[in-house]
Amino acid sequence: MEEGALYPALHRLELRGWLASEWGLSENNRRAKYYRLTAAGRKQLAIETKYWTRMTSAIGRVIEANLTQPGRQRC
Amino acid sequence: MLNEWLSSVRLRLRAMWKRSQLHRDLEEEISFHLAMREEKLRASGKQPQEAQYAFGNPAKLKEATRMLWTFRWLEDFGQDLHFGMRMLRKSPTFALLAVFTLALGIGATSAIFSFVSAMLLRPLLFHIPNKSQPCIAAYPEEWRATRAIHNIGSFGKAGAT
Repeated sequence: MEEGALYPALHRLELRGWLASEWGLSENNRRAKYYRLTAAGRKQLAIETKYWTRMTSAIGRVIEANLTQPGRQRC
Repeated sequence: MLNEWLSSVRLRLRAMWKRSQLHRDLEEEISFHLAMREEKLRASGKQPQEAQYAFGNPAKLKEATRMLWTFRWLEDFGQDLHFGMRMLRKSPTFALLAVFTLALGIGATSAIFSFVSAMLLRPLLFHIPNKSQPCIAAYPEEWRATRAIHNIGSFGKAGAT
């Protein structure tokens, strides 16, 4: 994955209202853009986290079932 | 969902006014990223050019980001209009012919429609006491049945009566 792909993603999140950005100074006194989560962004993060956990646990269960009973499940 | 859409439209409209600032900001954001990465690479004794390889194609990424902030379809539409006008100006004979054709077509269609609408579709302006005996005898037989109906809702039944 390219590092630069971060920027379209950040801007997309900002346009959706999940991130807010402002310009500030970095530690070595350079102008830098700072992003922070908005309230809507935090809410969305909770939703996405829940979805991610559900999906990974489902995948985990499928793999486990395949390991304990090999040959039973066919994909 | 609606909130996201609204915030996106609001920000994009604002970006239309501050287009050049948005471009500068994006430029600066990306050059800052590269500068920081180069510094880190130098500190760990690696080639600073590696920052560029890891970053990907900056021009492409900038374009993708800018596309998010603008109304691409609107700009495309504007350019299409502009191009169309230029092409018409380039060949005035064709333009005149096209305008004439359109005018003739629209004019003829609306003339025919207003005739049909007044004659067949609209109810009569006066009351006919006995519908089974329409008083207009000048029309052909099959026109008379439809002429006597009082609203368009019963138009389909015209043949039956």
